[in-house]
Amino acid sequence: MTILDQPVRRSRKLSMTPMIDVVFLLLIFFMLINTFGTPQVLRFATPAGERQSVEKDFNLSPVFIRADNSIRIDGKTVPLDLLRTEMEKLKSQAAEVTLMIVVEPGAKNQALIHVIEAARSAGLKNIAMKKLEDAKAVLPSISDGDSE
Amino acid sequence: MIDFGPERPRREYEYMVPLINVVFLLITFFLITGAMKATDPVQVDLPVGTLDETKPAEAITIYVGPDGFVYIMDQVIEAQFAPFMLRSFFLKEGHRSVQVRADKNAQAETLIDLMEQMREIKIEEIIILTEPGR
Repeated sequence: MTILDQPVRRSRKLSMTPMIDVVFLLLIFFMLINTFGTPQVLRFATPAGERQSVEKDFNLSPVFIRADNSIRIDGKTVPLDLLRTEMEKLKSQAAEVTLMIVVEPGAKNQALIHVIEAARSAGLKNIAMKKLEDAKAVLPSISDGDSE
Repeated sequence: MIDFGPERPRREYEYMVPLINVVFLLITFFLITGAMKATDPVQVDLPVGTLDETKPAEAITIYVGPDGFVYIMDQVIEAQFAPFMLRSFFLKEGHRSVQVRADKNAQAETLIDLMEQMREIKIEEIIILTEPGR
């Protein structure tokens, strides 16, 4: 009797190990590829038209973001937790207001986002963001000393 | 002395079914909760924010890396050259809404320049993405 003639011996139970291997591979795949937590959104509607900003558009003290990311309003450095209160004070100064945020060279995005969010929370809807040099062109009253 | 009766015989192999059940539950969890997305062209740490407004239906994504380089689709450009690229790109694609993933450590001036350029080429809405904060 040759080997081929012998009946094939089958195991009584199906082996689970290959399935478990595949399932673990799937688990690792989904763990690695997935992203959790969707980012938040800040929406800006851009002003229509070609008109450039002029001085009379801005009836509030500008908010300066300095190179060290500190925030200055009316010559005072404002801590982050008081930013919204300061913005509310600014808003109460006039009925229809446009806030100018002046960014110095070296200031980071995070500081800009803090200021924008504080302004939005205080109800300031119209915001203009300018670099220091562009802000000087619009508001000649701004000098280098304003943000210092 | 309490008599617990005869000790039950141990199985020859560990019972795998509970383990497989748990692993399947984990897979189902990851399938349901996660969202797959394309790989970002640059590693960006989003700034931390607290406000969250409603998301727009469709918008093209621009990345601003920590080094100030701007990434549009598969192209990398310096921020100062972005206007030419943006103009040709958006005129061709016809997008009117753009979302910006800007690194929190990138220069704010770069973001302002970019937003100004987008306004000039008549992008109607700019969306800045932030990380959920406190």
